[in-house]
Amino acid sequence: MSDTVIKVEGVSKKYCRSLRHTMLYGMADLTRSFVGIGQRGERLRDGEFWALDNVSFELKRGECLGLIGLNGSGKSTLLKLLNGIFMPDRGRIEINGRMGALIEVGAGFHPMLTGRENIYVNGAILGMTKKEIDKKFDEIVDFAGIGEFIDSPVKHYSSGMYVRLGFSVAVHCEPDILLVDEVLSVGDMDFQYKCFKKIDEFKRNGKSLALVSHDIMIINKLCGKVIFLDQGTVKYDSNTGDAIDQYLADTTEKEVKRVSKKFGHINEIDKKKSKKIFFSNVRLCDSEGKETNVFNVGQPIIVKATLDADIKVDTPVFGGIIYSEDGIYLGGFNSLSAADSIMRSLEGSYEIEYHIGGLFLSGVYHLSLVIHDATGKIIYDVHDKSFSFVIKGNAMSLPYTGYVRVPCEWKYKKLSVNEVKYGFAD
Amino acid sequence: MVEGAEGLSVGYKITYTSRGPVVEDAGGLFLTMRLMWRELLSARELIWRLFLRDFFARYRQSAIGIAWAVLMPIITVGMFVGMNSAGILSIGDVGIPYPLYALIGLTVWNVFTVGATASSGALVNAGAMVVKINFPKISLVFAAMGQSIVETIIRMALIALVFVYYGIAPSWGGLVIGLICIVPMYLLTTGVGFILSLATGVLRDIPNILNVALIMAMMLTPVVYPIRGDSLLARVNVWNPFNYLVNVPRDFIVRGQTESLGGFAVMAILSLVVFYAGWRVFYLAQAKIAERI
Repeated sequence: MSDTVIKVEGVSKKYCRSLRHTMLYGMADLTRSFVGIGQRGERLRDGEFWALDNVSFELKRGECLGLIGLNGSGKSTLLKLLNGIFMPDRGRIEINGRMGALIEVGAGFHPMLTGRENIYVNGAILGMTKKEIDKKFDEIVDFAGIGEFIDSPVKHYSSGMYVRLGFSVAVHCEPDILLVDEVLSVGDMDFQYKCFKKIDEFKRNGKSLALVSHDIMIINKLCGKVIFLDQGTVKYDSNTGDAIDQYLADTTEKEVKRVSKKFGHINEIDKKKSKKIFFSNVRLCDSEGKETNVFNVGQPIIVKATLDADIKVDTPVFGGIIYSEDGIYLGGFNSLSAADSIMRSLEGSYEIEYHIGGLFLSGVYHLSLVIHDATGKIIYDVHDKSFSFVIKGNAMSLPYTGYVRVPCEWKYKKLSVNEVKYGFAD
Repeated sequence: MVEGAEGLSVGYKITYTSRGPVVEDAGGLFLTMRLMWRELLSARELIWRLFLRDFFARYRQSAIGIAWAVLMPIITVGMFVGMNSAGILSIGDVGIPYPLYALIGLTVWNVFTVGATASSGALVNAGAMVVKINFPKISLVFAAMGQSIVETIIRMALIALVFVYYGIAPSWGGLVIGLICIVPMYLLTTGVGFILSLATGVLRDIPNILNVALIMAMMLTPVVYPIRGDSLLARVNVWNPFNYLVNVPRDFIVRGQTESLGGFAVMAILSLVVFYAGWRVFYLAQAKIAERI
C-alpha cells in the first residue's frame, strides 16, 4: 500500500449552461447507459463548458491541501469529484481510504425531527453504523455545544447550532481523508477554534485533508501545499506561500479593476446628491508617491484625497477604517489622532494625506473614508469599503501571522537547575 | 472499520472514471451483481433510518399524529362497507361480500400506487443531499418502498377486522400463500420505482404523468370488479401483469385456489426480471444522475 491517498490524473468535468440542455443531455446520457453504449465524454456539446480542465495532483497521508481560486474557478466541483458525487468526464481519480466530506453540513437533516434523531439519520448517511453513533453520541453533542436543545426539532435551532451539529456529526465519522468546503467560516469564534483543534488532531493522526476556502489565513495556517485554480485549470500548484502570493497578485488585478469601476460610480452619485463637503479624488500611493493598489509587507500606505467644501465647517474630522477581506473591522484612524495638525475650520479645496505604517500582513484589505463634524453626528461624506488594496509578501516566510504585524520584543535566559526545580528564585 | 497495516482503512480503495466508480482488486463473474449486493448490505442501516425519518416526520406537528396512518385506510374500508350495506354497489356475486373483495384488491393494487409514487420522487426530493453527499442512493428507493409495506400491513390488519365483521374465516393455507403471492408485486414496483426515480431526475414531468397513468391502469385492471365472459377488456387483461399480480393473491386469500397460476408464474418471473434490471440500471446510472438533479 502506497502513501498516496488521492491521485488525480488529467481530470476534466463539463457542465451545462441551461436547464434545457441539462434535460436533453441527461436523457441522452441515461439512455446510453441503459443500452450500455459508452459515454461521449470527450467532446463538448452545444451549451457545455469545461468546469474543470485537465487537473492533476497527488495527496499523501498526513498532508493538507488547500484549494484557492475565485468564485466559479472549479474548487467545489473538484471536491465533489473527489467525494465521488460526480464522475469525471475525462481522466481518473484514485482514492485510497475512507472519505469524509464537509461539503454541506447538515444535508439530510429533517427540520421536523429532533437533534437526536437527526444525528442518527445524518450519521447513517455518512456511513456510520448505529453502534458507532451510539459510542460517539455524547462526544458529538458535546462538540456541537447543543446542550438541552438536543431533543428539540432542528427547525427551532439557530443557523449556527444547525451547522455546528452537522459539522460535529461529520468530523466524528473518522474518515482517512476529509474534504472541507468553506464551512469553517460559520459558527462563532469558540466553535471555529474547536474545529481547528479537531483538524489539527486529524493531521497529527496521519489523516489527510483537502480544504476549500477564500480565507487566506485559514489556508496559510492549515495547508502544506496549495492549488490555485483559475477557470477550471490549475494555475499554480506549489507550496503554500508561493501559491498564495500568486493568488493575491491575481486577486489584485481583478480587485483593481473592480475598484476603478466603483470609483466612477461613486463620483456620479456624488454629483447627483450634491453634497456640501466631499472627497473628489482618492488615491492610494506608495512611499515614493506612485499610485498603486499593491504594497509589499512593511511598506507604508499613503492615502491621498482631494477634498471640496462648499460650506464652512468648524473642526471637521476625516477618518478611515480598515477592514480585512472578509469584513472584519481591523482598526480605525482619524484626523484627531495628531494633535498638532487638527484642522480648525474647513472651506474650499484641500489636499489631505494619511500615512499608514506598514502594519498589515499579506492579504486583501478594504478601506472606508468618512468626513464628519467634531461630534461625529453629522456625516458629510462616506465611502464604505470603497477602496481596496493588497499586501503582497510570502506569508509563510514571515515571522508574523494574521492580519497585522504585532510589535514584539523577545528575550530568553537559560534556567539553572535550582530554578527549574523551584521556580524563579526571586 | 478494519485497520490496515499502515493505519488506513481497508476496503475503501476506489477509482472514479468517466464510466463510473471502479472498485480495485475486484473482478470475476457477476461482478456488478456482487457489487450491487454489497452496496445493499452496506446500506441496510441507512435504508432503515431514512424510512423511520420519513415515516415519523410525516406525522409530526399533526394533532392526531401517527393515527393518520390508520385513519385513512379505515375511511376507505368504511366507505365500501357502508356503500354495500346501503345497496349502492351492485357488482354481482363475487363469492364473498363485495367490500372484502374490493378491499383486498385495492390493498394489493395500492402496493404499486404508493410504491411507484413514493419512489418516483425519492431521488429528486433528496436533491440537496444527493449533490452534496456521497451515499448509496438505492437506499432512497428502498426507503420509499418501506412506506408501501407499512400501508399494506395496516390495511391487511383492517381487512382481518372486516372478515370478522362478516363472520367469514379464510382458509389459513390460502391466506399464507395469498400473502406470499404479493411479493412479485413488490418486486415489480421496486423495479419500476428505480427507473421512475431516475427518469424524474431528468424530467420533472414524470410524477404528473404517473398520476394519470395509475388511474388509467386501475380502471383497466380488474381491481374492484371481476372480469366475466369474453370481452375486449378480458382479452387485453390476458396480457396485463397487474391482472395476475392482483387477482391471484386475492383468489388465494378468498377461495384458497386460483385458475391463473400459469400466467401468474410468468408474471412473477417478469417481475423479478424488472426488479433486477431496474436495480442494475439504477446502480450503474446513479453516478451520472447526481449532476442532473
